[in-house]
Amino acid sequence: MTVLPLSGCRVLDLGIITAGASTSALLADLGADVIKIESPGYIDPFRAWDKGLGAADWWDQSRFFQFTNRNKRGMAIDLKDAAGRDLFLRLVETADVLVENFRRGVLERLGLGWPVLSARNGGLILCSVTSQGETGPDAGAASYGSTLEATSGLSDMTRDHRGTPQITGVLLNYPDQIVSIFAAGMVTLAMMEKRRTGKGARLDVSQRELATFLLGEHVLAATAAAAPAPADAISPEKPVLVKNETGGWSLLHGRDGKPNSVAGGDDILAMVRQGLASIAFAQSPDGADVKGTPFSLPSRGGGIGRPAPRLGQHNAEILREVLGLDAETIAV
Amino acid sequence: MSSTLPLSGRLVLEISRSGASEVTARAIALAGRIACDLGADVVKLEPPEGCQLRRAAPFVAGSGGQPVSAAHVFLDGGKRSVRLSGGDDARAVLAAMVARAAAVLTDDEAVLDGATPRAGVQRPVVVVVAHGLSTDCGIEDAHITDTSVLAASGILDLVGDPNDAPIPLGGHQASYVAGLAAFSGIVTGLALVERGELCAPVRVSAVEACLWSNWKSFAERLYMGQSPTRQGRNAEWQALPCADGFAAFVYLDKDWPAIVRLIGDERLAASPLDTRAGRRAHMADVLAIVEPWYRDRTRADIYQRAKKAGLPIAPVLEMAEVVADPQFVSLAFFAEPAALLSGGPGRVPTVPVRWNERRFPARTVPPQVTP
Repeated sequence: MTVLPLSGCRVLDLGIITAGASTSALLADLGADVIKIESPGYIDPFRAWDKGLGAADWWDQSRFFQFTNRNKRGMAIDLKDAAGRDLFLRLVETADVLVENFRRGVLERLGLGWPVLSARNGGLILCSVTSQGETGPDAGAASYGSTLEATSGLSDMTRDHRGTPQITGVLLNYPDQIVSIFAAGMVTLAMMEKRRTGKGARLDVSQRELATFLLGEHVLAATAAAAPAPADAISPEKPVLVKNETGGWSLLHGRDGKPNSVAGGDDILAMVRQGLASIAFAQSPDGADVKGTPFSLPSRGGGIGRPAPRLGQHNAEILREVLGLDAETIAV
Repeated sequence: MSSTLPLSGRLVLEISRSGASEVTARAIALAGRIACDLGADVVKLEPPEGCQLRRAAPFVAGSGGQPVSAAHVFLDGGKRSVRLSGGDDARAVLAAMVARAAAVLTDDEAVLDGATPRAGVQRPVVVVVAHGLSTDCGIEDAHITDTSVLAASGILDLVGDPNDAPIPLGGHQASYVAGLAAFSGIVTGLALVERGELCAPVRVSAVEACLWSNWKSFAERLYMGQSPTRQGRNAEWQALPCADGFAAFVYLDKDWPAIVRLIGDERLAASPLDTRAGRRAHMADVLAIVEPWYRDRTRADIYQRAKKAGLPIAPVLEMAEVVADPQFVSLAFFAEPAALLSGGPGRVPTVPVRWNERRFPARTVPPQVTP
């Protein structure tokens, strides 16, 4: 049997959209049994992203949802209902990791704050992918990825020729995309620590902090005394962009100006079809194109073993297998 | 977390070759930066002329007033350094260090030829970092930059005005996205080795890591039949000028009623601006109403009103303001590399995670070179 870095690890996934759901997806790729838990009254908003391209059961047909949530099993539990909450806490007792990226205070309002969770399972690793930290004056402020580009310094560093700061917007929502690469690494590290000590952990991974962290030298340059460049300094290569014959843009490199074109959607599709993006993208067993991983995995085996779950698809299977409930109890 | 740090007792080597692209050099250094703050003993094996990051702009005043690279201070603080001069001695030093290492980060897999530990000795986790541009493009590694990777992955196409050249994300985002991938690659390999399994080299391509991050462009092209591209003034979200700078105008469809109340103009609630499709088709009409409201107000005023309304609108902060921001200050996010700098305190960000409410202190003294 193939052993993967997180084989035998159970992850409960309350992650939604990208930041949380993608963190859990990476943990699944590393071998964890990831159970995505949605409420009948609150589904992952990505299920409604394209409205299933018009399908009657659109919530089970969203390709955008499937891109990130492949390799997971799925349950539908109403966490606002006392019985649902109790069922969830019984699952928590069996889990190694819980991933969430709700607004701060949502878990507490559901009666599922850290004191409750850790009392039920002292070995639990709670990974909260927060906007800007668990505490602090702005911890509860609403934000999407581009909000945090504005407050992290990234927009200040990304300006057009008129000096207008830029945000990546709906098309990218940059911090949302990259935080899961780091968060998945930190959860894996916490799992290694747990294997040594038996102890769980509470991880608070702030998207805004990550965006500022990736500007570290500019933080220093803005706060320390400036100094002139020494004689052996490397001259940064300023990007030179020119219009090309297809109407797109090319980036010129070096003194002889070797061009490389700026890729668009057609180019990305061509790269995938030519096998030039075989780490970044993969196919799920149903043949759908889905996300791969941001780095190649160090083990043979693994890969995408199952397509994304339909809403509540594995309720009975997990209740039977994980909690040992019989068919009669499940029916109730 | 126990009293020791999670990567305590592990040796991590960074090997970046002469003539490597800045992308791989920075990616390796960022992965090492994070590993170092999490407790690893990180050693940079530098070429004879020293790692290129020592000569990278911008520069700040060092302890004696001499210029020092801000990137070098940020990325290499707390690491040790060994300069490899080439020849048999260097190969022997390399082999000895690789034999002791838990992980090796490199942009030159060939450097490990002949440095592989003998049979029976645990091999280190090897993370090979590449910029990922095709060799067919004919561009020398030394000329491949962050912008090259942003262009190849399509991220560059997403920012700016459609009638102007696209705008690269600030800083060195492509390098550092690859650096995050390299860090998690190390941890993933270590987790596998701890289970007694063999670990294949982990491969990080900056282009693929950025493509992975830009997956929505692929999905939109695949399923919606359109290639997303930058939308400039027609973008739903953008930074708008206000009385003392700029503030981001960001919202989802569900937020629109609260936006209408915030701006206080009923035209925003009337057709065609009452639906997302209508707003996307008439963005100039939206801006004609919203921009005057922004221009009359300061960033602080806009932010306080938006916070009260539960809206994801926030000021565009300049870097000096970011460092002084109350949220960051309250969470002690920045560290002070005071031993290094003269004439100003200087700040660097710490690793962006709290573990049981504890921060990992930044190690900030950059390495002296050991020949």
